[in-house]
Amino acid sequence: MKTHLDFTTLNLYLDDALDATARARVDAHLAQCDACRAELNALHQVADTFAAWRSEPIPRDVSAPVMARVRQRPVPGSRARWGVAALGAQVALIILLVAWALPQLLRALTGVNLPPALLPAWNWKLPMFSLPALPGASFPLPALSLWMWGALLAGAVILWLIGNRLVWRTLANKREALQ
Amino acid sequence: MRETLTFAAPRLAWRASLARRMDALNKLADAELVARTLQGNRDAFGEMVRRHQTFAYNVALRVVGNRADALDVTQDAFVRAYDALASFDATRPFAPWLSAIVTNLALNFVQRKRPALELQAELRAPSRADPAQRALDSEQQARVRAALHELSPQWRAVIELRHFQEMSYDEIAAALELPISDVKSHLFRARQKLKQLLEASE
Repeated sequence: MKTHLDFTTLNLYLDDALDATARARVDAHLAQCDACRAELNALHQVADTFAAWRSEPIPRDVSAPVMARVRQRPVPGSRARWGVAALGAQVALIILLVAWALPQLLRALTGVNLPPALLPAWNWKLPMFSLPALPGASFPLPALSLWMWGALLAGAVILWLIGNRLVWRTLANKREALQ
Repeated sequence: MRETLTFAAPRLAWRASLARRMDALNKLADAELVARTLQGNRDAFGEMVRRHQTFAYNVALRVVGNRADALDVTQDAFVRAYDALASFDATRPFAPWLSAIVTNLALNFVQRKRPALELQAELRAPSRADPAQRALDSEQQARVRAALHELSPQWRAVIELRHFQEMSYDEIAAALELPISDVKSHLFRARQKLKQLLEASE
């Protein structure tokens, strides 16, 4: 008994989505199977009905209302550029804070002092401005393991990212609601 | 008389200047209009809207199945397209990119806001109140319209992107945010259903 081509295979054949081997196999089958050929022709007819579809004219020009909304919006891509700048500023701030607190954190968490060769890098001062010193007593750190500190930091980063995303979406939704 | 001329002259000059600018934009290719829009020239996007609105409206109409809602979806789609224009690859044609946005919005519209649309019969037959439309609609097209609107919105969306926009499975999956297996499943089942409906209507 001859096995007919299944519906999926016929559809993939119609869409030219079969590889060369499978396509050759289907071609060979179609050459000798009237039922599958008829099934494929029916699928072709369905596809052909759309080819003759005529578009209808738009009932009214929508360019004016669209442009009225567009004129209230920022230039495309500008918000993304602003967002990248904001993200960059936040990352820079975090790096500065971590760098500022690094010697103190190292000492508190591991009991290790920063190598003397690196200390000058933390002691530099700008002519008009200098970072305040970190007295040990005013920087009490809970006695947590490094793993716990790592987990806390990861949690803070996740919250920070979610926060950014929420702020972003709120701004977008507010703008949408104003339209 | 002189005062009228004094006031009218700048306005006429402004209109002539606007017409010249519009005419200049009219001659530009889509990619150039997109580039100008991204540089902050919103008039360039206005030209894109005028150029593609009939196309976008027809995409929306085929998925939504209702002229008034298709107009709303068309407007929303252009605003969405404007917002996302920075992500458009200007080396590719604009219409398929736009059609993905329109189809997505139309699908969301049908699924979320207006489930009752499924019962609307506006596009199941040509509008009898509109003789021009009646003249446009051939009997064959009316049959296809009726069959198309028997399908679920998601099936219609997949048919729209595959058969009207000639997108690949991958492109449809990306446009509708569906796995490729779902795209194939929707498409093949939609074709099967259409085949049955068209055979039944003969």
